[in-house]
Amino acid sequence: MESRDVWSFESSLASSKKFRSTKPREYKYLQEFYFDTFIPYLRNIINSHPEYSYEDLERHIKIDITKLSEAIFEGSDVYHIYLETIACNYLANKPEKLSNLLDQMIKPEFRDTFETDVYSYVLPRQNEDGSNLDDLFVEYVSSIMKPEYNSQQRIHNSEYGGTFKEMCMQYLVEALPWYLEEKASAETRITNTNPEYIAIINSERKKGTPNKDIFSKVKKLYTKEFEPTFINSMNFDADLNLLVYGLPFYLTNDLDEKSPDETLAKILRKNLKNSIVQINSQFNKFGFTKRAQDIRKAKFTDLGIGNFADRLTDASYTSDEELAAAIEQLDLENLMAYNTSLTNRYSKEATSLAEAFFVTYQYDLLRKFQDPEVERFFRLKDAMDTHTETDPNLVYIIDKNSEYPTKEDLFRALRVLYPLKPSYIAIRKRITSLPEARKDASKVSIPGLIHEIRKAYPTREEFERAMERMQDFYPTQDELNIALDKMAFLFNPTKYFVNEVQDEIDTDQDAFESSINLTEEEELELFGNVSNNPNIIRYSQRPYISYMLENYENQYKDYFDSRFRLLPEYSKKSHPESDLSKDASKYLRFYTPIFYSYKFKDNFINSLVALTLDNKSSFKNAGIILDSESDDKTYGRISFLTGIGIDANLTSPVQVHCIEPAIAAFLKEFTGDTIIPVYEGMDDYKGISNQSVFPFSPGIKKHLKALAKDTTLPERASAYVRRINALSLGKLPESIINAQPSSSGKSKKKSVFKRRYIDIKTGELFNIENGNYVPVQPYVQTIQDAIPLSDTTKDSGEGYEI
Amino acid sequence: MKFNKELLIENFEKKNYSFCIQMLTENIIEKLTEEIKEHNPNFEYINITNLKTNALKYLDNSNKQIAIQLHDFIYSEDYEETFILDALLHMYESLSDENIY
Repeated sequence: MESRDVWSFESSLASSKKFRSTKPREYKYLQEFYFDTFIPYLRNIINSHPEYSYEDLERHIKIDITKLSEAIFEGSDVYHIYLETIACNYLANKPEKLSNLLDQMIKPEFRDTFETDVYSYVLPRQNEDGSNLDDLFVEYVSSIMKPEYNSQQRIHNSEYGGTFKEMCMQYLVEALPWYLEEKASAETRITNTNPEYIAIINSERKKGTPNKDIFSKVKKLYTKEFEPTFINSMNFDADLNLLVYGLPFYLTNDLDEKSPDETLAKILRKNLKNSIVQINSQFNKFGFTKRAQDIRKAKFTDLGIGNFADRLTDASYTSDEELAAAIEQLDLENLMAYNTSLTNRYSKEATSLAEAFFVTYQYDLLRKFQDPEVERFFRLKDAMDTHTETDPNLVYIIDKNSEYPTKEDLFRALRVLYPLKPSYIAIRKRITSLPEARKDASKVSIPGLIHEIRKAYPTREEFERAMERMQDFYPTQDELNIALDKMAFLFNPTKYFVNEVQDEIDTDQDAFESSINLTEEEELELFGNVSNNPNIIRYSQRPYISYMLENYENQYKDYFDSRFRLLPEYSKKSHPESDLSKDASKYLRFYTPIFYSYKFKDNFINSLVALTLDNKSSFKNAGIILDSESDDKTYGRISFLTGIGIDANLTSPVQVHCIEPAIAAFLKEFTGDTIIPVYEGMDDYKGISNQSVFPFSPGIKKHLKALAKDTTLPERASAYVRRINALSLGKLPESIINAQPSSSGKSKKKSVFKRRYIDIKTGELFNIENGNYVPVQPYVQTIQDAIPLSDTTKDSGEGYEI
Repeated sequence: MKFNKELLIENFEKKNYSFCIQMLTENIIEKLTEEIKEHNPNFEYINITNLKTNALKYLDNSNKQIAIQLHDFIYSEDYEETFILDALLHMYESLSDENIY
């Protein structure tokens, strides 16, 4: 790898400072994450493996990080394969477009791109009756395509992606050789069974017999000749379809999940399932699922539907096998929406985890966690948590004569146990707000909590020692900020390096692997295990470390060491030396999954947009989220940071944030314009976050059905519940239907829900009528608006065209 | 849209940052495309990903970094509008002779 001088130390530092200045509260989020999610994860490992040495613990965590990193790769092909299914579906249903496209693919301008020799004679493209694409023509197109364009590596480049037409071409580039091979195999099988069948097909074709009659004739013959079990075992129907209908059947079959062949649809499902199960498994392991459940419980309790949160938690899938079975019930679009939701969360959770790991490494906390005294302290916290959660009415009995523990000891313990100010304040407030405390604070002592302190630390000496020790256990706000500043500094040079590495792999993987190979020792040191995954490349950090040291070593040490020296607590506790080679090594290790989750984000935003455009999909409500609308509802406004929303068959709507230019860029290249459906009805659940999303179980559906009828629920809770109930039934929510203005005219005239579209560039809103975009009628408030709407209608338009 | 310094400043003062970001992004893409075409005349801009891929192949280090950064801004939601705008202004200045600041 060449030496780079892209980022000088000063420019890297300046950029990182600017970035950090936009996130002044990041240290707080890190603190909360660290205490509530990361520490339980670490303690779980330590308590489950009391036999672990420090090296064993380190190795366990390295393997956990490796598995977390590898999970994001499970879905790396998903988005491109999904776009290919859209292309396949389009070509399968439009034989004339398929024929035209093949014709274009042999034109000089397309051939030149592939740098091949060209034959100039014209082949018959269709059979005499026009019903088939001539296989000689298909074979010719396939033969002139450069072999390396069939390779999987091209998919990751997105180099030939772009317009929908180009996507169709790419799909055909991949599919044609497979089609020809399968057709040849089908012909061999049928010939071996009875060569007369082939002769009949050919002679009927010459007579101009329609394909469906040819198919019926031959099928009658073999049904008469052979037993059904034999016919099924030989898969005659599929072979016959392929021989009679040719390429169009192959395309339709490629979308059939029930086909015995390895179809595109089956590959997509397999990839989606692996990705969903793997990512979900990582979320469970690191505590992200629990965290999302806790946040949901708090929100839902405020709404008055705390029980529903409990039901959802009980119904969530804790094992990979359970989840894999549940998602078999979802169709491919719902799986796409689900996977996108998880992948989107992954990048955020991986970032929090990277920060937590970096802090742990930076302040050598891992070693401290293995100290039995530290575990003793955390057990006290567990006990305190249990009491404060389960005893809403803590009983108070005065014990003024107690010397240990006193009320002051209790509050001191609480300050150390709950270093996050909001948690400490909340607990102290609960204790001191109880009626007995308000009457006479001196009369208050809390037996449950006091008892736990005495149990954990029988003597005052032990208690004092523990409190002093744990006082300095957690990184302070300043220390967290220094760690975050280091990470912000390392971000740009690391991102640049990883991009260069990926480019070298894409250009010549073999050359790359031989230049940057890892010894087994290095592999174990970095990853904790030796890989057996052929789809993932592990590479040495040596060039990266060399580059970092060459450009930044002394300045990095000087700058960050001086930051530590300025800390108020600098003299009281030891601080790490700022060793760039160690810091960078850890950072690259933690950062890699984040880089790849963003690398795939362009594809998954594109496929998410494509999902909203696909009128054949089961989603009745999917599209871009509007920020606001004009009073007459003819224009909408989209924020710079906007999002795509999809009402999928999942326990929460799927929402992914992205910036408007990303959506506009894809729309322009894919469809030729900048029009996208509008996602309706966000008000039903605005501010009600539910990140723990999964498929509905029968129990949840039943509970929702009953809850939706509960007239005692507060209005906001009721709107939310009815929305989710609609998702569980796959229906358009009433709230969305009712929000649309009724048509003017006679009273009591039934109106229909019309899906709306917006031109991102102009903000103009449209409906589709007879396949055309028509501006929405200006909304004028009339008496008729009081009449509820109940009918829906499907769109009649196409999302895209070539 | 073509680069127009007066229009850029006018919208910046009105805090219409989206407009400024769009103008700068389009013009940066155009400049990078021109640079790539000097090495690969057949190059055609399709999307920011293919721009980045080709920038990594053909351009010098500082322009590679611009392409990488641009890609990051488009697909990451971690950045504030003002941060992106500030970075884009520097990128455009380094690619052109314009002195915006």
